[in-house]
Amino acid sequence: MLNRLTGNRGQLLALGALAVLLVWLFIKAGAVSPAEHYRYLRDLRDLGQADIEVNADVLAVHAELRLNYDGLIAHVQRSRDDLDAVARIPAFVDAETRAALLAQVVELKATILAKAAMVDRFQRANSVWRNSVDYFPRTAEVFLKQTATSRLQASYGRFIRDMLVLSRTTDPERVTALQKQMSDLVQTRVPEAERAALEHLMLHAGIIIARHPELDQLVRDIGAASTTKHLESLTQLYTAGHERSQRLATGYRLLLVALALVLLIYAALAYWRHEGDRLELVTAHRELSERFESQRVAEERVRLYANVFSHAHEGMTITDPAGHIVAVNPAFCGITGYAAEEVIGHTPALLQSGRQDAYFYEQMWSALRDTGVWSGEIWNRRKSGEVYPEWLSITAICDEQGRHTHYIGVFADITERKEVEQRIHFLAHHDALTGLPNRLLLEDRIEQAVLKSRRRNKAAAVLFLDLDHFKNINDTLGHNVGDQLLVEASRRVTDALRETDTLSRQGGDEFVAVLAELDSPQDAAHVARKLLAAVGSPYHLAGHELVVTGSIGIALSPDDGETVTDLLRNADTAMYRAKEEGRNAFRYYDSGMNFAALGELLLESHLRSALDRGELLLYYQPKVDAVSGHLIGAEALMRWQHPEQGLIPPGRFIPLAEERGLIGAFGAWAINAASRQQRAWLDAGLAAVPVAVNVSAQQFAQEDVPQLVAAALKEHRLTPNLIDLELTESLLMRNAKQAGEVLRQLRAMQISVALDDFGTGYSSLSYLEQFPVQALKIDQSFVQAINPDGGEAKLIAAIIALAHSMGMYVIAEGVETDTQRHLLVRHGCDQCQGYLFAKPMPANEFVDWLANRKQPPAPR
Amino acid sequence: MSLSKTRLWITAGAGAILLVLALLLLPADWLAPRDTAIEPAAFAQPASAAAVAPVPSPPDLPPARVALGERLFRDPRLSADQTLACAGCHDLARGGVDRLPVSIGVGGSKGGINAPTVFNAGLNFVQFWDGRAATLEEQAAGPIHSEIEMASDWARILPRLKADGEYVRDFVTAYPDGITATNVLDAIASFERTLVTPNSRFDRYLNGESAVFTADELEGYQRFRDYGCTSCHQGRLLGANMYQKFGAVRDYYLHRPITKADLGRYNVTGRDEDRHVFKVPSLRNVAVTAPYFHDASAATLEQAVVVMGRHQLGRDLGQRDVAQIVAFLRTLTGEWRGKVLE
Repeated sequence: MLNRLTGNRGQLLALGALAVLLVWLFIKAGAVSPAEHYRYLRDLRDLGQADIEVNADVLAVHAELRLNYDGLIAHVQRSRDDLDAVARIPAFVDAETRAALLAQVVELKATILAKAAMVDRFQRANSVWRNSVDYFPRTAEVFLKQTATSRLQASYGRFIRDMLVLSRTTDPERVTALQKQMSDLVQTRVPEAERAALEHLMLHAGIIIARHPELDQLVRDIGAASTTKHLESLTQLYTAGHERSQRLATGYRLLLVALALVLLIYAALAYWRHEGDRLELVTAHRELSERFESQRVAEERVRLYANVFSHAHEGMTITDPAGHIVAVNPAFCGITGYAAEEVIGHTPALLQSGRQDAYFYEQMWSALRDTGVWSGEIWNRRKSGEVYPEWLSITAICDEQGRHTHYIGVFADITERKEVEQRIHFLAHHDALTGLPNRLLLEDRIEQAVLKSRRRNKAAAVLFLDLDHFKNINDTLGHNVGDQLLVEASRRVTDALRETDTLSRQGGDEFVAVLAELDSPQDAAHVARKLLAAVGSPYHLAGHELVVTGSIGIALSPDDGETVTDLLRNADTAMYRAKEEGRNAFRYYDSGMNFAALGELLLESHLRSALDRGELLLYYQPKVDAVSGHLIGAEALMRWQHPEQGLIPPGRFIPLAEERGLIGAFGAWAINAASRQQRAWLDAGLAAVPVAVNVSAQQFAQEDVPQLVAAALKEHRLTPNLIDLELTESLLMRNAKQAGEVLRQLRAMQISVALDDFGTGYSSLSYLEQFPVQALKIDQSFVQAINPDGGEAKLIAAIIALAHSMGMYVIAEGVETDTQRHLLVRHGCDQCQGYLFAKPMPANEFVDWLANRKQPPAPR
Repeated sequence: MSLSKTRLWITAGAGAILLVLALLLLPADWLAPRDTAIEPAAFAQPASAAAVAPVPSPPDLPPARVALGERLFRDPRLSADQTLACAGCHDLARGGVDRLPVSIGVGGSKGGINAPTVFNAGLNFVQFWDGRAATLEEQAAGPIHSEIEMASDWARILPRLKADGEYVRDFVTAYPDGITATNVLDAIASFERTLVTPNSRFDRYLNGESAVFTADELEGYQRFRDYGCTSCHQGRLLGANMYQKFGAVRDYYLHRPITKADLGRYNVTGRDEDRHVFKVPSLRNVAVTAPYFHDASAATLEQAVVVMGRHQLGRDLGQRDVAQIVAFLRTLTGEWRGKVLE
């Protein structure tokens, strides 16, 4: 600052000095004013002229060429005035010359004043002399007249003649001679009478003689006055001085021009430099702006990234190449429970739960080294010690050389998802009420038991247990008591079984026990007896003592079949035997039982012709909006109107139809029948709602379902939105690839597909994403598990949320109570179906129901 | 870009100006006339070769200064007791003189010499009888300071003038520096230079109106020339352009005591040859400026002519000569402001 100031001051001083120098040079260069010079020269010449005029005037006056002194006096005065002017020496002459000039002027002045004095004397003398010269002839004439006869005439006459001549001459000798003549004459005696005239004569003669030489002298002196000489030397001195000054001024002028040129060049250079600087500055400014802008954009991005980093729900970890944690985000801290400062500098090994072995980590690192990315599920340990699953993605960050500089780990705590999945899996494989494996798991267990037993060359047994008259308990004491009884019964049965055995609830009051590796078929009987005893003990429920008995059918592998279906059916058959034979007993499935199962065979033969005889019917059960209760659609359910046995539910004849290869025809009929009904309703002017037709697994695998639907729609002139399909979950799993393909075709046809019985199959949530289905039907077992205090709410909520997140809507099956409906509504369930609204009805009743239903029941 | 262009032009313009400046300075003595023809000396011959000439017209001077000069000329505040103006002794209605042998100053003090007329004083080659003032300005300061005349000084006069708003205003109009001693004198002198009296009968005669002269006057003029009067009384003023000894031919002071005033120019130069030497007075308006001579010894023109003839010309003029010469002298009275002087 100080330096800059001094620098500036220095520059200012230099500029000031330069300005002063320029002005000084300018003044110096212009110092020799031509006007002043010529003025002085003119004054000098004027003075000389006036001086010469004075001389001329004096001569003219003296020679009587001029009779007045006006001119003379004017010229004398002029020369005096000019002298004053000449004394005003121009300012540009140097001091030395000036001094010399002034000295010369002083001399000149003295000369001129002396000359003026001489002129003064000349005037006076000349006037007197002139007067006498003029008067002398007249006086002489008078004198000569008076002395005409006198002797004086001769001597005076000569004198007078000489006098008259004198006035025209300047000869000094003659003057001297006349003076002598006159003094001689004065001494001459003159008569008294002539004295006065003589006196006059002599007076003027005296004046003439006396003044004549004086005047001559004055005229000569005036003419010879050294004024001219002084003037000349003055002029020479001045001219020399002027030339010197002129040369000096020219020097200054050249200097000024040189300086001006230097300044001009400097200005030009400064301009070009400034221009260059300016252009550089403009460029620099532009570059800087661009850099600033990109910096700003980058900062914005960094801020965005930082926001992502800090606000992500996923935990994030950044480590150096050695794996030491460099940074973690708040989500990391939230999930792991560690504060940032507790983990920075450590490796993520801090979080290891020990559930993964060293090989796992080797694989992980190997993948990171090779591809730079790794992702997978990993179990880690929170600070609290709790082990949790997370989905971890690690990405390596590379520098230009490809070396890893950082690793970024992003992970989500999937504990909750895991729990839901596990729960769903459990529910899918277990009975909601008793927690026992359900039919799905049972089939697996049966297969395993069969396989295991065969390997050991032992028998396996399937025991089908049905509680006798259980429906009475439900009807008289309520579902609640019935359910409690079922739970208690299942507990007792489980306790009675070995660890390796499996007990499954088939629904209702039916249980199946699988016994593997039996040494002998009798062992099954032994177990059956134990089970009957356990079941048969009294129950103390709700203040009642209840006694319930059971009936058990036993099927043995490999004798009674090696497939799940065979074994279960045979065990079921055996169970019916036990019931027929008085209940609270068990029966083996044996040849006699095969004979006894002839009724089933008859049914099968009837089933083949049921289609032809038109014994199949479709019942329709309404689907309503969960909130408003408005009709949204209907599910078509197949019924067999048996000529002898009456109405047979699908559970009894559909598996038979599948087994006998009839299901394809039945399915095609159902699609067609539903379409025909829709057309009839439309023709009758009724507002149509979509009707969902069930497609069985076999039919789905064997028939071209999309083709069937398309043909039916075409035949009955229906829009695709009027026919929906419902598929079971397990169906999809058997041939996922083909199922996906068919579903995509259906979707292209705008046929809506709902996934039936959701929760009972091998439901993997991630698998669901592969299938384009539009709706999810919650199995009635989940719905019925909803008790008044809303115990199953969490699971149902998870399913609904999951379905919604995948863009599906949710239909709840088997809704029987307001409590259930209320809870479903609260968790966002879209549609409901069940006895609360309506049971399945024939087509004509369905129309009546709709007509009678003025006001849909609103949820309470 | 336009900014830089503007700068370029400014720089170029500044450079060009510098260059032009430099070039202008360099050939300053080439461009200027090297040998300015010196104007032929403005020496118009002031007078003809003849002995006499007409009075010129009054000079053309700044009217404001002339008017101011006239007021000052007539203003008694210039004297010590504010009773006596210039015009007190130089009465313009009486030939520019007081017609007294000697003037009477403030407090009744008497002067030592006869007051000369102020008319045509501007054309006199010097001022006062003894020529001690070269200019009218110098002359005007004389009586103001003279103890026996106005007995005043600038310290008294200037405040009086400055107290007069009209003077202050008029001075500022006439002079840039307002009321100063120099300006007061200049104004008075300017006015006096206008006191020229042309158009006398003599001048008309000279201009060709020969009929204006009577026979006597004509004869007088002839004698005036013949007797040598024009030796000294020549030029346009018939005098006032030379000095001459009073008693050039015959001693004038022979029969009376000599006063200081009688010494004339000697009082100025101290040279013996200047003893009794006086400025030859102009004969213009001589008829209205009696009495005559520095000592006022001649009450009439006749007496004066006789004295002149005897002492200056060395001749004794007859009565007829005198009468005719006087008749001629009376034709010399000119006009001022269109009126013949009285």
